[in-house]
Amino acid sequence: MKPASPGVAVLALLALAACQQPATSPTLAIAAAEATRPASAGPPIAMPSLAPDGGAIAHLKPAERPPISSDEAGLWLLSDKYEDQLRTSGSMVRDPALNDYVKGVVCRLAGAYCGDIRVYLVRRPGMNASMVPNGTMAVWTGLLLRARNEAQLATILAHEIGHYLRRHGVQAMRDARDKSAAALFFSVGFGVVGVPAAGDLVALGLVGSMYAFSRDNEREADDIGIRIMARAGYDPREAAKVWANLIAEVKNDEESKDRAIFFATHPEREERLETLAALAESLLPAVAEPRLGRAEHEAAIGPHRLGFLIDELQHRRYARLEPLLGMLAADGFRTGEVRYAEGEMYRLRGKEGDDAKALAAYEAAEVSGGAPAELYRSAGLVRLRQGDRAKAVSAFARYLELLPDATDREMIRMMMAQPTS
Amino acid sequence: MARFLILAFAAALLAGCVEGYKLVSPERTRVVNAFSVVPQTSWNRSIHGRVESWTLDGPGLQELRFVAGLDNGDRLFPTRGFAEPAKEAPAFRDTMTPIEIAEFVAASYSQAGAHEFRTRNLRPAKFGPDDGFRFDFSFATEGGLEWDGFAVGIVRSKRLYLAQFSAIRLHFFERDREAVERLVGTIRWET
Repeated sequence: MKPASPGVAVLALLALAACQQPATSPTLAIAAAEATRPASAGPPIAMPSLAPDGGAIAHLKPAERPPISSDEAGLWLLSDKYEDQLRTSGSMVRDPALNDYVKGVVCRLAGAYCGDIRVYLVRRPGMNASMVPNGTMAVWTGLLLRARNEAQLATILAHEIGHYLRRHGVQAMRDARDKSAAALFFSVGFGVVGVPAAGDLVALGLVGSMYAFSRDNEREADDIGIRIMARAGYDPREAAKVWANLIAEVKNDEESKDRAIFFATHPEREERLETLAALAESLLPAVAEPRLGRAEHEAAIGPHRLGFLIDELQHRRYARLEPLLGMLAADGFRTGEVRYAEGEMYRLRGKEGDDAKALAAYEAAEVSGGAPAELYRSAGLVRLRQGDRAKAVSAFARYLELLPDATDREMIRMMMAQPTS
Repeated sequence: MARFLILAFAAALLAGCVEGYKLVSPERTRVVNAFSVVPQTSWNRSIHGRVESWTLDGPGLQELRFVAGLDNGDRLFPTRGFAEPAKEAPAFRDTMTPIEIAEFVAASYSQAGAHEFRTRNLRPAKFGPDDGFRFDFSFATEGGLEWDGFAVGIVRSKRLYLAQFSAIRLHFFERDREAVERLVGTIRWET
């Protein structure tokens, strides 16, 4: 992960870190979004009331930019610079259909703020999304892979919109300034967004204190987010499922430092699940036809899933990948591709017993159909490792039969022709 | 990627395990006491253990990278950023086939920050006098620059040897490719 420039570090910090606002009632200018609700929807969904909060920061209004003389304006300028870098990044996903899909979900959620939020899809494994103060939203493809339907995707996007509306960025900046921790901004080498990059931290003690505050921000963003998604007609019960799935994934990764950081910066997992589940039940009566958007999500994400899985495989985080692949296989979409990826995971990991698991997954992928021809090349490699040359040659031959113009055909033919060693 | 390489180099330099860049004359030159090559023009080189990084205009524009003997369990990029051990980086296994070595290189670069690292045209090729393999690759940097490259390699006595050339697609790769092809064609074992 590249060390960020100071400006990016500031923004990333703000994307992650908390405000020291007490958990006063959040205030939202989301009334406009209410106007976009379908007529068939149920009674209006109440946002948390705007309670007197002793000078708490006001909500952002649609199309609002901070006054040029304010400290917040400086933050927005940094945000603009970050956005410029993001726009030209080599990790941007340019596919118009996928961009349109995610942007569409954001607009459905954001209502009158749609034009204020610019969505950038970042080709990167891992579940992450972020928002910086000027409305630049970065969404990792690893999140698209993990959201099992549109409502789950909306959960995270709405959470990020909550950070934006509540101006958590400027709150964090003022908080840090008040704590004389400005130097921290320039000494923290966060990556651009999100939790996985936090491994680049220095000054852990100070950062730790920031994390303690961030839980309030995260709670607030959770609270706002689930209401936003319910207003947009999504099934709010999916919110808790997103986090439950992530917890299942991270729990399997016992040695991951991300695990500790993730759970330090976000509300306690049980508390979060319980809170979201209770909120969902209270909101559900107001959602006329709770929408999952499974088919729409699959239509948009399905063609890209295998590529996203290969990205995950290249990062070799097998402990997290294993439960994820299990969940995706259970969903029943493009199972051949998912089982192929499962086979690849075992082949690449190469622990004792993994060869047999890989072959079983490849066979399941073959039965399901839709797996790429590379399945046979991979099966051949496993057979070679097992010393079963005849089956290896047979698998390689099948690969070349399906992909006669494969760019590695000369190497495959040479491997097929090699005498048994 | 380029930034990663520069940072990795800077970190190693600070740690005292890297020599600064020195000029290589256009004459037969030993590469990490493993093999030798004959450049046709002067290159700048720095040595990081068993890895040598050569460049004409700077590592942010092109790099000829010699990996002279990775052992079982070694990583292509042993650290992330300045000093953090890359625990999750893939490790070389001496039983790898050329297909798996290309995957190993791709995963190593991806973890180091390269985007969309793709390999193609894996085929048998000579490494010095011996039968090895080669493949082409491409990737993009975080800053959006597109790079092209090729690698020639061999596993000899259970050690991996690679000569990798990569450069910015715009101008540099095509400008230098032929010269590097000729240079790689002069590899001769010195051990």
